Amino acid sequence: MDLFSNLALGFETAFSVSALLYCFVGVTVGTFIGVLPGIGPLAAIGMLLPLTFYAPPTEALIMLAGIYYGSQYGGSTASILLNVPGTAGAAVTCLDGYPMARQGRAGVALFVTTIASFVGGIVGVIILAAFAPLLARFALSFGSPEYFSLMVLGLIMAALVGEGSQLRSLAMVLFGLLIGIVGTDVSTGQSRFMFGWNELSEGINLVIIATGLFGVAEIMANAGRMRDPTMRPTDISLRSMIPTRDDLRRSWPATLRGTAIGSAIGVLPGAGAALSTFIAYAVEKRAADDPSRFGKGAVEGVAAPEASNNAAAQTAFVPTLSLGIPGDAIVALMLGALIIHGVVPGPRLIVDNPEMFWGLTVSFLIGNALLVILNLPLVGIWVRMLLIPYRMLFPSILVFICIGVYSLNFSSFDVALVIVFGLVGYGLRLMKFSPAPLLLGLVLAPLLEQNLRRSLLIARGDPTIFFQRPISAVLLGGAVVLAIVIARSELKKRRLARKAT
Amino acid sequence: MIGRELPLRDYCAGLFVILVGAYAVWEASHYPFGSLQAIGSGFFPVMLGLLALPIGVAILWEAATRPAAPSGEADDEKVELRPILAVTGALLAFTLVIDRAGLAPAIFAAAVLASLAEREFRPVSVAVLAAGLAAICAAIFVYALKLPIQIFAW
Repeated sequence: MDLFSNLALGFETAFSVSALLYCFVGVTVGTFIGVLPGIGPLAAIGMLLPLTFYAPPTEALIMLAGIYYGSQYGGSTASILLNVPGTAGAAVTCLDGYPMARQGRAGVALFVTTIASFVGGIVGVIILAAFAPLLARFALSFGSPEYFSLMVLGLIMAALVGEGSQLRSLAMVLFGLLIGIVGTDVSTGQSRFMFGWNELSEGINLVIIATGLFGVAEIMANAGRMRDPTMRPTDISLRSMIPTRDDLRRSWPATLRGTAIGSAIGVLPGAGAALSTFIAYAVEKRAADDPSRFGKGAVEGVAAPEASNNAAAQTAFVPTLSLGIPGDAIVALMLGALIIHGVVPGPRLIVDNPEMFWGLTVSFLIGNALLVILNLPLVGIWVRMLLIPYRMLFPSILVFICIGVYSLNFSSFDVALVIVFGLVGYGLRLMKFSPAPLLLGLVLAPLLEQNLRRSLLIARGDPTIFFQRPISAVLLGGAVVLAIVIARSELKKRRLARKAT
Repeated sequence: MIGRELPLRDYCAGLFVILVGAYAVWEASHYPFGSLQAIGSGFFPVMLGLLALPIGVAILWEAATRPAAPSGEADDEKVELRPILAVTGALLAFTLVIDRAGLAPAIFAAAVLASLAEREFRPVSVAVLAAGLAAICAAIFVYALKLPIQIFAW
C-alpha cells in the first residue's frame, strides 16, 4: 500500500464521529491533568483505562494517547503561572517561564510554549508516520531469538538511559518483570507468586499496578502538605500573548533544536518526554550567546523544552507501534491496554491493523490542532482550574481510582490490591526508586519469557543461539556495549567526585 | 551535622532488592525448572532473581562508598503517617462498603476518610464534597456508562 491510500484510510478512521469525540475527550482530559499539579498522566491514564475497555481498541488508543500528549501541553501552564510543574516534563519550564510571568509576560510565555509544543508535536507525528512502518517492515523477519534480544536491549536502555540512578532503574525493571509473571503460567499451567490467592491466577491487572504505584503513592506523599494556590485568577488576554519580534527571533531556532532533541530521545525505549526537556534546556544554554539570561526569563528556555517534550511524546510511539517495545512508561501502559483489547503488539500491528496505526497517526494531527485552540483562546478556563484546592482534588482522584479499579472485575479484592501497591509505591519512593521503568518490565514480561522459551526450543537447548543469529547478536551486543559504556562513565564520575572531597 | 550521615535509605534500597531477588529464587525453585531445551515455569523467575542479587549488592556498595555528602544535604522525604493512614483507610473503607451498602455510601466513606489527611478538618465542606462525588459518580458510571453497580444496596 502506498502512502496516500494509507493516509486516506487514516483520515477516514480519525474523522469518524466517534474517533473525533474520543480524541477531543482525550486531549481535554490531558490538558486538565497537565494543568493540575499533583496528578500526572501515568496515574490519569491508569485511572481512565478501565473506561476504554468498552470502546473499540482504536478509539481507546486515540483517547489514551490524547491524554498523554495533551498533558504535555497543559503541563507548562502551572509552571509558568505558579512555578509548580503540572507534569514532570514541565519542571524545566519553570526555570524561565515563571520569571517571564513575574515580568508580566505570562501571556507571551503561554503563547510561545503552545506554538513550540505544536511544532514539536507535528514534527513528531511526521517522524512517526515515516519511520514506524519502515522499522516494522524490517522487524517482520524477526524470529523469537531476535525478539528476545530486542526486548533485552529495550529494557536495558530503558533502565540506563532514563532519569535517576541506573542501578535502581535496573532493579525496577527486574521487579516489573517479576510482577509480570504473577499468575498462572500459560505454557505449563503452574501458578506462580500467587501467595495462595486464587484471585491472582490471571495476573495482576496493569490498572491496579499503575494507579497504585503512581496515583495512590503520589497522594500519600502529597496529601495534607500541598499548598493551596495563592494566585489570583488573572485574565490572560489574547493581546498580552503577542510576542515581540525579538521573542520570535529567539524562539524559532530554539523550537527547532528542541524538536530535534525530543524526537531523537522519544524514540529510545524508556527515555521519555521529561528527560528530553532537561537535555533541550542544557543545549539551549550552551548555544546561547549570553547564557546568563537563562533563569531570568529567557524565551528560548521555555520554547526548547516544550517543543522537545511534545516531540518526544509523539515519537515514543515509533518503537511501540512498530516493534512492540514501549518508548516510555506511559506508552507501556497504552501497550498494556492494547494487549487487554486483544491486539498483539509487534511488527505485524501496522500490517494487520492499518486502520489503527494510520487512524492514530492522523488523530495526533487533529489532537495537536485541537490543543492549540484549547490552550490559546481558552487558556482562561485552565487558569481557573488552577484554583481548585488540592484538598478537594485528592479525595476525588482517590474515588475515581476506586471506581476504575472496581469496574475491572467488580471485585473489591482488586481495590484492596491497590492499597498494597500504593504502600509499595510509597516505600519505593522513600528508598528513592522511581517506579516508571517497572511498567516496561511488567508489560514485556510474558513476551520476554515466551520468546526465551521458543528460542531455546528452536535451538534445542543451545543458549548460544542468541549470538549465532546476526541480528540478535548485534542487538545483544548493543545492550552489552551500552551497559559497559554507562558503567564506566558512572565509575569515572564517582572517582572524580571522591577526589574532589 | 558534621561528617557523613549514614545513607540509611540507600542501604534499605539495596537490601530490598536483594530480598526480592532472594525470595524470587527461593519461591521459583519450587516450580519445575525444566531443561534448557524445554524451560519450565521456574527457569525465568530464577534467572530474574539471580540477576537482582548483584544489583542489590551494587546499590549497597554504592551507598557504602558514596563520597561524604556535604552537610545539610538531607534531601530525604519526611514520612508523615497521617496521609498514609487516611489514604489507606479511604481505600479500605471503599472495599468494605461497596459490596455491603453499594456505590454511593462507599464513595462517601472513602472521600470523608481521605479528607482526614488534612490536618484541618472542615466537616461541612468535606460532607459537601463527599456527597457531590457520590452523586456525580453515580450519574456518570451507573446512569451514563451503565456499569452494573448498585448505587444503594441494603
